[in-house]
Amino acid sequence: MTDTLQSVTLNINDAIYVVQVEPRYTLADVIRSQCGLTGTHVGCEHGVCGACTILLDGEPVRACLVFAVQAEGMAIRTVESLSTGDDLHPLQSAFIKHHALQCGFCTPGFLMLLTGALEKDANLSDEELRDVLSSNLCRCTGYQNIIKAARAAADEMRQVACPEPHET
Amino acid sequence: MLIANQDSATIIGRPVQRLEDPPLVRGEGRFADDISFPGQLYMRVVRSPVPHGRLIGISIGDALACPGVSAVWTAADIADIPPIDFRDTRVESLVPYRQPVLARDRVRYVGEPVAVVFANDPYLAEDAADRVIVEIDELEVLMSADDVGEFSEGRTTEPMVVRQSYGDVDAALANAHRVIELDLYVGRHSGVPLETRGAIARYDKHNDILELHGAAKVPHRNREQLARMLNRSLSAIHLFESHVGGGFGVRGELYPEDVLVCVAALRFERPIKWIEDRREHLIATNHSREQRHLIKAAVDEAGRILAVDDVFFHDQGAYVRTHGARVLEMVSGMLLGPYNVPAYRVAGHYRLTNKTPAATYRSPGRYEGTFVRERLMDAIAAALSIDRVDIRRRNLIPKTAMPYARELKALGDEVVLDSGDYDGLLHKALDRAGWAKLQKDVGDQRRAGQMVGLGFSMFVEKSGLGPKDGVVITINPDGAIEVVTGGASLGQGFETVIAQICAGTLGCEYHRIKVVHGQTSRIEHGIGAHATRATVMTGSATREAALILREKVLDIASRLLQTDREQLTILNGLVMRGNEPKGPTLALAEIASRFASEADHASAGVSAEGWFHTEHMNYPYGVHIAQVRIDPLSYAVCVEKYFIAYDVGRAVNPMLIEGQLVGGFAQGLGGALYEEFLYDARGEPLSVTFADYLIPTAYEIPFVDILLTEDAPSPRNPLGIKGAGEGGVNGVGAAIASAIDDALHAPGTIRALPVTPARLHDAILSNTAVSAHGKKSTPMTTATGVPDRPMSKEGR
Amino acid sequence: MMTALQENELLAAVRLPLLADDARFGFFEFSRRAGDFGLTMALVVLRVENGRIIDPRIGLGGVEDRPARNEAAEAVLAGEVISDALLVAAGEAAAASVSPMEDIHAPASYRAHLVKNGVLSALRKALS
Repeated sequence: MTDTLQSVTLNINDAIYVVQVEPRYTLADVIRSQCGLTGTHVGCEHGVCGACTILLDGEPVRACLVFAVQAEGMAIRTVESLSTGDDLHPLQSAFIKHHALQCGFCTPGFLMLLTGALEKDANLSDEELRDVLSSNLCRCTGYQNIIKAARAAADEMRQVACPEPHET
Repeated sequence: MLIANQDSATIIGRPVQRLEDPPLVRGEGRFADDISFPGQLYMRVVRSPVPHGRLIGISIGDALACPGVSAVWTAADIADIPPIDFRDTRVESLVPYRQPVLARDRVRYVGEPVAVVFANDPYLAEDAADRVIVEIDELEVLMSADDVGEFSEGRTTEPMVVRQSYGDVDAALANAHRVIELDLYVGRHSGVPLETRGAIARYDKHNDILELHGAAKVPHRNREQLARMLNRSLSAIHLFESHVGGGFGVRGELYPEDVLVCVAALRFERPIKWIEDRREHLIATNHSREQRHLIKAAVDEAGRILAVDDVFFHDQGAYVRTHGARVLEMVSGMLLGPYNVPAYRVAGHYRLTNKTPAATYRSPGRYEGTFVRERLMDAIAAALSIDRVDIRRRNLIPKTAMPYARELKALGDEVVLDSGDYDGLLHKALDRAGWAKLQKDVGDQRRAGQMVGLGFSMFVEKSGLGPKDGVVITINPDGAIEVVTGGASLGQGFETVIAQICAGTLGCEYHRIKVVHGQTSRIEHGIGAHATRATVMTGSATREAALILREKVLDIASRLLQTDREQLTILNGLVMRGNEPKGPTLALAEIASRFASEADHASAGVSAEGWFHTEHMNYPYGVHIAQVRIDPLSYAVCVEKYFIAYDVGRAVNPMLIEGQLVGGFAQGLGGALYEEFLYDARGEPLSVTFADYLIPTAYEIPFVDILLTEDAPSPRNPLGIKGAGEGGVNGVGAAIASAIDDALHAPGTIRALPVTPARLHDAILSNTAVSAHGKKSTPMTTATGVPDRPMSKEGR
Repeated sequence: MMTALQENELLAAVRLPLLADDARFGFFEFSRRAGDFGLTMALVVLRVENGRIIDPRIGLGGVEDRPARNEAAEAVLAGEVISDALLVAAGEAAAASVSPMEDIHAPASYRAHLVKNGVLSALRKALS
């Protein structure tokens, strides 16, 4: 039955949200329903599909398997953090360029999964990329273009991280 | 600008980026669960925990006492709501088998809605639903379509048999050089999109309009049905489609939950929101595919088919849903694929069981039919020691025979293959895949100890279901262009393709085009997006409207530019003299303003309506080639290589078509190796989470090489388009089965899908086939006194 | 599986013996898809002295209701001269000795097959 609601402070995309939650509310549900951030999607609620993937202190996690109360004091990043104004993150541009989305429901989960993985190491080999991508499910694309987009974005992110030295 | 523009002169046929993408990559999509209205109540469905029984009573007292609960309904609360009807053809013999919105006196599958709870919070609604006590007197279950039982007093579980035939099959069987017989099975699986179903109903009392949000696929049809069921005039109900997380045939049909949110919104005068969870999805959303076929072919010494005789048993699950008998019709009409068959007889037994009801799933009736037909071709090849490629070549309908009338019907339409060079595509496919080299490499891998094999399949798909489509295109005074269609988008890129056709025909910029779909309040007519009809039908209507609009624009422009019409052209939104590209131009925006100011018009800007009609569907076709490797330790099958050759007549956006083919392939591979809805002997569903129902990950899907051809444009529409939505999934089960047999050097081993490692292990161990549930032949019971339904006598 | 921890107890330490410097190991796991729980796991740790197997330890997971040592296979191997036939026999002994779970992914007979091949595979890896 219901527990008393308690107040929890969440740091999402560098903004503070104070929400009223029962301990059993999942982070995915709270982000969506109380913080107005519906980009994170719920596909299965049992931690297999990865559509709800967000970054918690830089790590990709399934928000459906985290309780909102657990995320207090952590840095939460969702898909809404990737673009600034009209400027898209390299992953977002790569997804568009390589037709890596069809219905778009799994897309935020893949974007955050890849953001987490590539921010840690943009030097992933094709095999390692595929291994990372096997965490999440897509029902529309057959993954081929997601792999291409991930590869292209990784290459771009690697260049930005280690730009070519200038000629002097 | 996020999407760069493309030259309108060449845009049809180019792999341009999708207009749909920017909001989706930003997480700004509006899927059903993203839609909320102030004051909404959340609906949670109470579902039967028992597969078959008499509903004795439902106690709602505890649930009503739960915090936040407004109401709990059972069938008595919606006594005036009829069962859910067929979307298109009404079939009298199926009428008594339709599903009630809430179970009345019987429950027939685990997952069947028996009550609904309304609460002000979704967690509380679920808490309360757990407190509803359902008393059921359990009855015996029927879990196989091999058997027939009693549905209700005087009614068996086989309401009809779908039959088609031509030629003298019995004579051919009697006089054949050989008769090949197979017992084949395709396991129960379905679309399973990543977004579960959802519906939000809202009643605008002031204007007496009922709104249903979260619609998909066939909003206009559903609106008509809902209006009838709720006794409202059409103008008092509107459906709204926003973003849809995949459909694959299973989302968008009218389900009990859609009706319930509407009734509740009207009664409570509050918005009602319902979102299913994944477990509910797996036991309540349409299943598909499960069929058993007993097929026979009479062949001559050269392996040419003289006759095909097929008897099949379709496991429909507990009720007949909106599709009626369409899946069986499609099996029966499309089973013969690209082959010439002089005599044919098919009997499809429509059988009900205590499983989740079934309906259409991407390439319905054809994924199953292709598996059956191509296994048959491989079996004929093996029996006569003829090469698998040659056996197809000898039986293909030649290009010169087109258009080829099959003397059969599918989807109520005569099957007339409009165009196709089947042998040509086979040749190109083998060439592109490097068949000879593949065989050599496989030989090398075998010598190195690997269990590898090659297989392939050929098939004919269908697209462009009519009868018609209409769109309205408007150029606004600011230059923005809107195409209002009765279509629908399930994520396939509908908006982009329509925009390309509009841009290419009118001469405007595609990124300035907004395509409206799934809004019944914007256009009265619509048949939606299904049966791979959108590019053909809505696309062709768009072309018609764009041509008319182009004329209107040039009319005005010729006056303003003091130039003859014939000298003018429109390029990238500018009207100019064809021989003076640097000369004076007129923007479409100016023309639209001019038009609006010249006379009385109800709307701003200049617009045109265009319609496209068709008598028949058209028929794209394909070849799939697979290389598989079997792991000797686990008998897991790995698909190492895959090729798809597909003729679409004319490609509007090759990138999107390839996306459809690869996505379809992934689903086909799932059905061939991983996905299955299983039940235990007592009728309890076992595949209720994503840990049970296995959707392939990126690891399981190999790179797919695609050859897209435009050798056989359709004569049925001006652009020659055939649709691609179902060409990736159709041939996969057959091609993989063929390759596994080859890897085992044992033709005929694979007779059932999915080929799980455990089943393959059993088959190899016992030296038998991978067959239906590992069962040996089960006595087939046949019903008596059941009305047959000859195809020739009824329409759609 | 129930914990042996009583209500008034707190887990304070876990001691794991270190493997010997010359310990070899091999691991086999089979799952239907990348990342799924294994339908069978076999972990082998052993030492080799003068061409004989010393102190073999074989653990199986995903087979019965809890991970467990497989004494039948260990008995076949202990002190014996290494040969592929020996490894095969160990796998067969393991398969014959377990009562595997049944679920929708694997009937008992298939899990037993995975045990046989899994132990064999893990042994081969340990000895390669």
